[in-house]
Amino acid sequence: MFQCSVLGGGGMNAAAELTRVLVVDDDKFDHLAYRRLFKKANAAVELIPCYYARDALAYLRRPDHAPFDAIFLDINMPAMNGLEFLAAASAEFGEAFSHQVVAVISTSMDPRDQEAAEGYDAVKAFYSKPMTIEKIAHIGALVAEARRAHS
Amino acid sequence: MKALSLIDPEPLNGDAARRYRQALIAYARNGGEADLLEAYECARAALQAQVAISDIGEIHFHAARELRADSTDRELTETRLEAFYLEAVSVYDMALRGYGASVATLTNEIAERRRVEEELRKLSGMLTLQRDQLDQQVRARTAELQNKVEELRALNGQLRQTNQEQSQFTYALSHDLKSPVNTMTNMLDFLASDYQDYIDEDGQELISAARTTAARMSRIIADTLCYSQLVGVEPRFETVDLAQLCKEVLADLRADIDAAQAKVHVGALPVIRGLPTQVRSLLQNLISNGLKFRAPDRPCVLRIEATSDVDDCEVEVSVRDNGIGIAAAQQERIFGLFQRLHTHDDYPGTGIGLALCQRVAHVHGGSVQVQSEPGKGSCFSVRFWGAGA
Ligand SMILES: Nc1ncnc2c1ncn2[C@@H]1O[C@H](COP(=O)(O)OP(=O)(O)O)[C@@H](O)[C@H]1O
Ligand SMILES: [Mg+2]
Repeated sequence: MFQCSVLGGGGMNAAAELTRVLVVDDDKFDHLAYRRLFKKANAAVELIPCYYARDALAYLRRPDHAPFDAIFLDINMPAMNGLEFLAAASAEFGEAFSHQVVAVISTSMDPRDQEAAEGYDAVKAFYSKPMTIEKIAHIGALVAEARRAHS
Repeated sequence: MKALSLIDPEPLNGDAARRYRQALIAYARNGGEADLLEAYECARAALQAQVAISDIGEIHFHAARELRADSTDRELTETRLEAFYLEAVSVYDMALRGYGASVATLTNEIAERRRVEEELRKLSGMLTLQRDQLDQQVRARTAELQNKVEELRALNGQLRQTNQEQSQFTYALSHDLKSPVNTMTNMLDFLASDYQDYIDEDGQELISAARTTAARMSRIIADTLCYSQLVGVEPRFETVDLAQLCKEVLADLRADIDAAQAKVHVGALPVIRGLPTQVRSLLQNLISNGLKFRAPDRPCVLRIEATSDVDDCEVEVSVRDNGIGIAAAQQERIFGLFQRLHTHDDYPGTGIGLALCQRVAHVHGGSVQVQSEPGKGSCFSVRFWGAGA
């Protein structure tokens, strides 16, 4: 677990490792920013937008949901915040959820938030907003690494 | 040396007299403890032999006269004679007081009394000790409490100061944020209008996002300013006419009411004690929430009412709506600063309103209560002191 502000291991094109990402964020402009960043990184990604954490839970619950590589998770969200989402998803999906690559992406640099987030196995990285191409590439590298570890 | 025994006491009392004389002589000469105790024994025997107390006197004085004449240390002899006589007579004395003849009982009783006295002395010694210890403990505890009180007083002062500083800081910060945000909004507006023809759709989207975000930011700044002004104020209560206040708030919200096509029913509102600007913000926030969180599928109806207790001491003001309602699990969270249940897209807002209302209620000695059912509506209520109180 580490914080990233520099280039990830896989270089810029590591962003291409991400083919489908669940974006859990209440701010539609953050979704807009992610879309633009991926475009800049020349990565053809499908972003599944969730404006409420409960929508992400509902998505995970659907038996036929499309597989995804990572979850971009905001902390400060209405009704159910990112930490509450982690608690709910871990309780509901257990082991399966802990294998996901969750990247917590927050404006909150409160060390307590980071500590709480890192308490979940699913959380593989913690970043501060704003997102950059480098940070996205870093997540791509993490996903590739997790994929290798599994195969 | 003179011969002893001028008058023989024997015809009078025989054995008793003889024994007494011998014992007296022994004590007068030796002064031993055991010899003195003989006085007891003699007197007890005499008492049993029914020798009268006057006869004891007679026997004593005969013997004493002889001893005096015989003595080398008059004073010592005199003291001993007296002690012996008193000891003997005390047996008669006790008998007269009803102790009977039983010296054993007497001795036991004396021993018992001594024991009890000793015990009492010990106990009172212990009590004194305990009382002293208790005194000390009380003194120590009192000192400790005094220290605590002073500590708390200091802390309270610090807290108040911190609160005030914090509020001044927040005020200054939000005040200073206001002008750059305004400038930014202006620039974005120019960009959007003056360069409309040069900027493609993609760029227009970004400008629009920036303008919306700047607008949101200026709302947050305004609300934070409002909130920070509540902190650390001296509550100087005035008489507040709720009916008048409500009329003004509704006039301010006219545009929102019209946009929501809302029906607002206002009941009889009393006069209360409070801070007019604060009560006004509270009402304004509760009413605008009622308008904002209306259900999309039915006309919005608001009821602003008040109930007072018999002597107008306490007044409960409520704002009721038939809007979307709030799930029980979320009813606590909504009073937290910046806490919201919806995205800005669904319902705009800053999440400061109810935190501000709660603060106002606290300043007025109460708290905001919520009753709500999802899909049915909500009722927010606050208690105030009536002006009659
Ligand atoms: N009358 C109401 N009906 C339903 N929900 C409400 C009502 N008032 C407040 N809420 C909920 O409580 C949250 C916090 O309210 P508030 O602090 O006023 O913030 P804001 O109005 O800026 O969102 C709102 O976002 C909303 O979810
Ligand atoms: Mg509000």
